[in-house]
Amino acid sequence: MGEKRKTTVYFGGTAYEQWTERGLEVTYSGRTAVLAEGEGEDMRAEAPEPQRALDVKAGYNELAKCLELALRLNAGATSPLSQAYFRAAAEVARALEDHPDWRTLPAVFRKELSGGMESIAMIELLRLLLDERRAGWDEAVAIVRDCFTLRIPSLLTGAPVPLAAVEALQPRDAKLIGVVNDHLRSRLWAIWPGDWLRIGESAIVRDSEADFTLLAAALCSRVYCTKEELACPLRALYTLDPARFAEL
Amino acid sequence: MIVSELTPYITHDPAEERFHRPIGAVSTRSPLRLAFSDGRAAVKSAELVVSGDNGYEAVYEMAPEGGDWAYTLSAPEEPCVLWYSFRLTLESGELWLCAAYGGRFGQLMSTRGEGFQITVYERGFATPEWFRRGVMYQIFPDRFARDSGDTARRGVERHIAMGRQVKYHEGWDEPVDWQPNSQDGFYFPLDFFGGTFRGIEEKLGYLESLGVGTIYLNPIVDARSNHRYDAGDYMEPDPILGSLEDFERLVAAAKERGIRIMLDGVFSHTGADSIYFNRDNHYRSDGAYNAGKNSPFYSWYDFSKWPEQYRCWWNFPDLPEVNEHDPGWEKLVVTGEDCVVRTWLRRGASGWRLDVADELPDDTLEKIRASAKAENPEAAILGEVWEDATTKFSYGSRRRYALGTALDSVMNYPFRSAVLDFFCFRSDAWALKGFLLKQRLNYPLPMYYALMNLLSSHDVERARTALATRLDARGMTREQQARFLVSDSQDARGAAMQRLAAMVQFAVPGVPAVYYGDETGMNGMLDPFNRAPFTEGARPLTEWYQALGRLHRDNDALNCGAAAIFSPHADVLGVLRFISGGRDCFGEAADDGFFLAAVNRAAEPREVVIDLWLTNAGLTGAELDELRSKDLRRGECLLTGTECRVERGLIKLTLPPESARLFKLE
Repeated sequence: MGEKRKTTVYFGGTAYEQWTERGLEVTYSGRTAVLAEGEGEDMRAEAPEPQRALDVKAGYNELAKCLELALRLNAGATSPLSQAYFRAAAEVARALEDHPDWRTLPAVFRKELSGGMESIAMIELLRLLLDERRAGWDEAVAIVRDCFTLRIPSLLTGAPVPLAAVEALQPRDAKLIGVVNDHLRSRLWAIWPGDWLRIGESAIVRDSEADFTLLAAALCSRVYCTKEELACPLRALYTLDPARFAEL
Repeated sequence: MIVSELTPYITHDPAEERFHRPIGAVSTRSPLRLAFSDGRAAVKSAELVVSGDNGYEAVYEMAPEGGDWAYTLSAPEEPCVLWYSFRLTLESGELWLCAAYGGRFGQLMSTRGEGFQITVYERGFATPEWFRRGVMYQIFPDRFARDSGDTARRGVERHIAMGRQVKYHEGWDEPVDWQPNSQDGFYFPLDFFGGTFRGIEEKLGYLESLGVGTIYLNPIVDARSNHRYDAGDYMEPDPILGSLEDFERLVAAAKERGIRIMLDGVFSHTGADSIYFNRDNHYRSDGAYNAGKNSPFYSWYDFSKWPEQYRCWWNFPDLPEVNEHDPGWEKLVVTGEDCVVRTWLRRGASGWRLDVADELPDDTLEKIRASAKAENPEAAILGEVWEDATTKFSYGSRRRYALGTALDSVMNYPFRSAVLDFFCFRSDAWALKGFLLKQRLNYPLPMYYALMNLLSSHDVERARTALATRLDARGMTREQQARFLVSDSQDARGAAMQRLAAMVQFAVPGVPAVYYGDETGMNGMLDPFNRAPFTEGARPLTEWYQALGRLHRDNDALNCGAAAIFSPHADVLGVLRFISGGRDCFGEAADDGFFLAAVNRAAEPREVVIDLWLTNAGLTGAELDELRSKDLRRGECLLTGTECRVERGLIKLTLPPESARLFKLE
């Protein structure tokens, strides 16, 4: 048996955004890294190999943080959002590692979401495309759209996710959810100019909480759902872009 | 300066009953609840500030009500137009919630901006049901139809015998005259084609096939010009059109087909060549010009220096203006038992279109209306007003056209502009929806449903030409207009867009008004090119107009049903009309029915979803409840047979390029 594949996933920290001649450069400090090993539900977290550093004590403390996070992830002692983020981040990172020509990613990487917290995979892929592969916004959104579909289960369970919780995992993801929301609101504004009430009711982010079902529905190439969902939670998105929706 | 931080949370939408109950204009002394949302509970106190003309202002303390702030006021005793905005006190200071986006939605501002309009109209204001529910057909009498006899020729001879200069076109297909033909180098419309009352009568079957309920005739009384806006004798029909007996025959024959006749009253001025002014001595009367103070009509006019210097309409010496407050004029034209207004109603006309209503004082308009209604309570009064009649300001005062005391209806030129802008791609469906909704909110309901929704008239270029060329003919000389040829490809584009524009015209509340020849695809720039003899163009739409007219006539919901407007895409407009419960918006008995009109102006197909349950599309809360309570499941297009499904108020449609659909929903 070969060695299991390991992928680094970063948690938390602070993101620094700087516009340079090359575009937006994002750097981080204070992140905690864990290694994702295995696939899917069997995915496990490990602490990364200790790096010999000048400051041995700091290195030890860093490793301890990573180890603690890995143990908590493996024990299921972190929040469901953290668990979802861990798996999703590893999965999309591997997909991009395996396909350096990211423009063809949708041909090989297709994933069906259910509108729950795993939908953070879309945002994480968007982040990697924008920040690390330096894709343009429209290009990155198109790839994300083509990689994901949404099939909403019969009983919607997703509760709104505080943006602060997303920010604590990956600050850029929280920021990008806000940007996706702004784009959606712009589209809503175009058809309901001035109708703030309706735009607010249809937004992904309301009162600093993100609706991941709406987020996925806004970004996916195809949305499979029931008449009830079309008539209620997805009503605005459906009227905005009916071609993407299919009734179950 | 606009403040945006709390904008999504502090909102007001006059089309939502949550914020404006009832939606739309209100009658005098009726309650009106006004509110705004406060989604973040950021407001400490709020005032409703209502203002009006002549410095009127009233301030009301608002109270919190379930997350909103609200106040219920009582509309004033007198009809008027008011504006309101909200003054808010927050932790951070004072803000104003004012009207923005064409008066449709609230916008927070640090200083006071524009207010939202409230139209307060006379309690009990009603407009004739027959007028509201019918299709109108406008006829320029000299150019619609000759008769098989020699009526017009005999009339022309009479004009000539009076000493008038007349040109008679032998051929119906000759071009109209436009070249300068007077000593001062101007064009004067003296050429006649010889359309007559009998000619119209012979075409009543055709008009009936168009679903016409009202024929609006441009002036018919004796006059020198072919347009007859220079009345020579208010009491006599022009002999070129026929005799009084011919007119009465026409009225009777039309009545048999359920068609009424509306006349054009030109009361702000007379012709200089008239029995009243008699500048040219063509009449045997003592006119104000030829007899001076000895004339019984002298006081009708304003002479600064008799006889040559007098006040005239837009400085046209052929059109001397009258003093509408002169008792003699008033008695003869408006108030006398046998006045002009009443006499023609007695002769069978069913209403008056009042030329240049702007030039008539409000009290004169009110007297005309009272006189007409005294003669026939069902008479309709339509005013020529080119702008928003609810707010029109002219000659130093706010006009009272739409307040329930002066006019039943106005010529809805703003509707024409908005529709043509959309189909000429100068605007989008969202702008058109905003306009249509604003008319719904600002006009008194009785007038809103009676608005003369026109796309062409004798005063503007024909819709076909406007849509085909997308030019503003007002920037062209008469010579340029005369030489302009609409190309075949332009006409094809114009025809495609006119079909859709007509659908909108027949789908929205109001009276769809077809200018003669529009249905047959006639082109024409401005006067006189828009007044050519009735003929058929290269791409007639007669069958289309007949289908729309028939559907409008046969389905109560389409002529008096509740209405909601949708713009699901920049290229797509939807109009829902319905009646439920056997009563229309005015409580009159009507047949139930649900209809959705949809047009796609784009050259590509458009897949859209229309949300019929939108709460701010023009329906009242009760209408929305009624609509939601109906389990509408499917629709079938009455024009094409295509079907659609309805799910909880959502209709998904794939509209072919440049297409119009009219679905009957069940």
